[in-house]
Amino acid sequence: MPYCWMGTDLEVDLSCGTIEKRAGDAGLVRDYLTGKGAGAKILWDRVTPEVDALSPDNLFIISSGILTGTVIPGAGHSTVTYKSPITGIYCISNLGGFFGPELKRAGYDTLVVSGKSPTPVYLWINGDHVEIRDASHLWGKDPEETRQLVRQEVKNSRAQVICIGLAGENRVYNATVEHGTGDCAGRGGTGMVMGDKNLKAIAVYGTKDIQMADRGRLFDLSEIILKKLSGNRSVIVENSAATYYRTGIRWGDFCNFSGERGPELEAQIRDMKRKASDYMQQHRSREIGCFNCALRCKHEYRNPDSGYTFLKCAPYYPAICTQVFDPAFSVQFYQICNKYGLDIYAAGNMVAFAIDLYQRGILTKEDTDGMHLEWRNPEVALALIEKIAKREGIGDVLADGTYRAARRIGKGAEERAITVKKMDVYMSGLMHRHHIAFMVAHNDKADLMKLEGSTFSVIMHLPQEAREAYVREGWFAYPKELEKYLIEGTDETHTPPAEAVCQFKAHDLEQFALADATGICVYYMHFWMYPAISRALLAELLTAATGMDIDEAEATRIARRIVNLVRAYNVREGLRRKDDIDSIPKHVFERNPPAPEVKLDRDVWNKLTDRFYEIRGWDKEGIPTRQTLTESGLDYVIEDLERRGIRAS
Amino acid sequence: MATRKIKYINIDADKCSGCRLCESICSASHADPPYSLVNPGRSRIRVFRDEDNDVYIPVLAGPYTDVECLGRNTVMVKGKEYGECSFCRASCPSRDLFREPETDIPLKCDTCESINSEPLCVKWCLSKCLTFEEVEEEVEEETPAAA
Repeated sequence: MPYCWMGTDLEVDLSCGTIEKRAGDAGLVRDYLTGKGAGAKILWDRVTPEVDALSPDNLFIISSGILTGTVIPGAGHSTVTYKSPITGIYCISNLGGFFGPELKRAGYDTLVVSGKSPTPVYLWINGDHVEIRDASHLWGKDPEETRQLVRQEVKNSRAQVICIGLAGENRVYNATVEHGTGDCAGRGGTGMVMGDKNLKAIAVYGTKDIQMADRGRLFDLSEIILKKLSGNRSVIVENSAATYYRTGIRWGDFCNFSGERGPELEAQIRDMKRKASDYMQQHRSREIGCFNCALRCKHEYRNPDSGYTFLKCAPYYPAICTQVFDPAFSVQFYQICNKYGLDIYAAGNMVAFAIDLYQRGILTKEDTDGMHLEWRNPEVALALIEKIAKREGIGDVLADGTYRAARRIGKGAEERAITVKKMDVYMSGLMHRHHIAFMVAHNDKADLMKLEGSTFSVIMHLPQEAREAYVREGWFAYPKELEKYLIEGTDETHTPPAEAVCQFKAHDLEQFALADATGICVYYMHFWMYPAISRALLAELLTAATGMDIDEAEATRIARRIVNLVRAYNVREGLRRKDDIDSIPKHVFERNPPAPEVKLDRDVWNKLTDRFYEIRGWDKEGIPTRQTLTESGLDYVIEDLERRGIRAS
Repeated sequence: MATRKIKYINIDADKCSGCRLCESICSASHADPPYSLVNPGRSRIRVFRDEDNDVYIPVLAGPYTDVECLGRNTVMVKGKEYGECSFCRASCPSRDLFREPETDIPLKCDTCESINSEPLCVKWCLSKCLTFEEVEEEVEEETPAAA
């Protein structure tokens, strides 16, 4: 039996109110680890194409990573896996904070919630004692209140709670599962799935030991990570969201904002950078970390009259979506989204979409209950969010997400919806370069999150010297064979060579799979400019912690197995090449970029896709080949696909 | 006058990020065998967190007591009332804090003396909330108690 593994899974069927504890399968842990791997396997086995995302048979799977809760810094994450009501395909949301480690200490690696309760309930997991409790009195309460009330009721202030807000209760498509201090399983409609099951909250507490295999080694490796986190870096990347947005403007692509995009807007964003830093100095009260994490990426802001708000990075996103360049408004925006349990990025996109439609005359005062939707108006933006969460008036239409709302509204609204595979896009302005757009199109979750700061999108564009120093100092987290692409850098049009784009994308999927299966935050493995854990180091950590013999090649094999299983799942749901390549909003292809950059070209795009599929071992349609699946030990996938008439070549 | 070394772990609660890395490393380093497990329930430092009120206070395990307090006081922090147990260092029968799960053996911070190390919670605290200080203090020579 692997160490770090609790060996028990918990399944709660809300339809019949049964609670079942099942012995886990050590063989599966060896093949898939836990977290993303376990989630993908359960989803493949049980949530087939016949199961609608909003049927009781859809599962809500929370699985802690195999390293979650150990002494390794950054190993505190868990994943929520489900079929997304928004995209209709596989979806995973990463949950930081403290829930994953606590679930493990309660004795469970994975919690599967199935069925649908007739009345609102919450789940109380106190070690071996598991209980389904009535939650009718919690219905309508915001996440903060819910958390406090649940903790009072279970008489344990150290219990970790996740819950939905009003948005989840009202089956808003972009509802989140909130955990507190800004942690949530946000993108993809987690909150809607939970709300659809009438599950208001899950509270967990445990005092079991999490065992580790090789004692001294794991401690030494962890100290290396801490040293890297606190160490000096000679390559300092001047990087901020402001830079991205300014580039975005030059590309003439700015969410739904259709007004003047000249130097004036650019100046406003530059000004926002100063305002944001002033605001931060004045109001930021603390930097908060997730379990075992010394990075402290969550910033807590004290509001004069409304408690505390948590946000990461700089508060640019709401500003861009609404054209209100005021950090105080941005903080308010985040706060109201947290209060209703609503995905901040989708909320921004929906608000921008609604204002855009109104400005174009597609929506009128009659549709908006007399509200005049305009840019640069903070009240309008906040009122819209409230309407969405409560499904009132125009909010009821928008609550279905931009993609579905556009189809309900019609009259050309479809052209203005900025979505990727039906999901509201976060910061569409970032898709200005085709290699970034390519990354988004081929993500297994249709999302831009965590691409904007990665080695590939940031470090690739540094001067030669800095790139070399970056590799020399050991910050390059990908396998060694990719180093040469980073050293090579971009050409005179700021574009990396096609081969580099495809290789990095292919490895990105693996890197994410490993991060989510081990429970290590992607900040440590990929996303942040200075990832402290390379794949080689991760393999060492896995071996030292679990006692399983996993070298870098084996870690890569596990990652590929997960990536291919997820791809096969989506293929089984009907996803093909055209869904990948046509997923990017049309206007991205139509823009004329400023020199020296070049326009995104359909031919190039197709060639990139071919090569990417080839590296991944997928055929031209994006279906994993028979050989790929067999190599990954996924013969059962071949059989299932064939039974359904999908032939892997 | 004789002197003796006093070890201090100082806490600057304003800097605490609430990450509980100190709990993990404490429970791991004091485990038997060392680093065989992580369990905050076995840690000799616990972070009291009230994330909705911005209260994060690391509490180091203090002395064992076999009776609980008779009266209970309350503490007001940032306009919110807490029971004094929240910040109390004692291993006491009224709660399971600072007692090993299952065996109930009381736990007390030994500034990592028992594992021959500098205090690891301090070493691992990258937010510098915990700092370590060794001070030579003068002590009065012990005189036999008067009969």
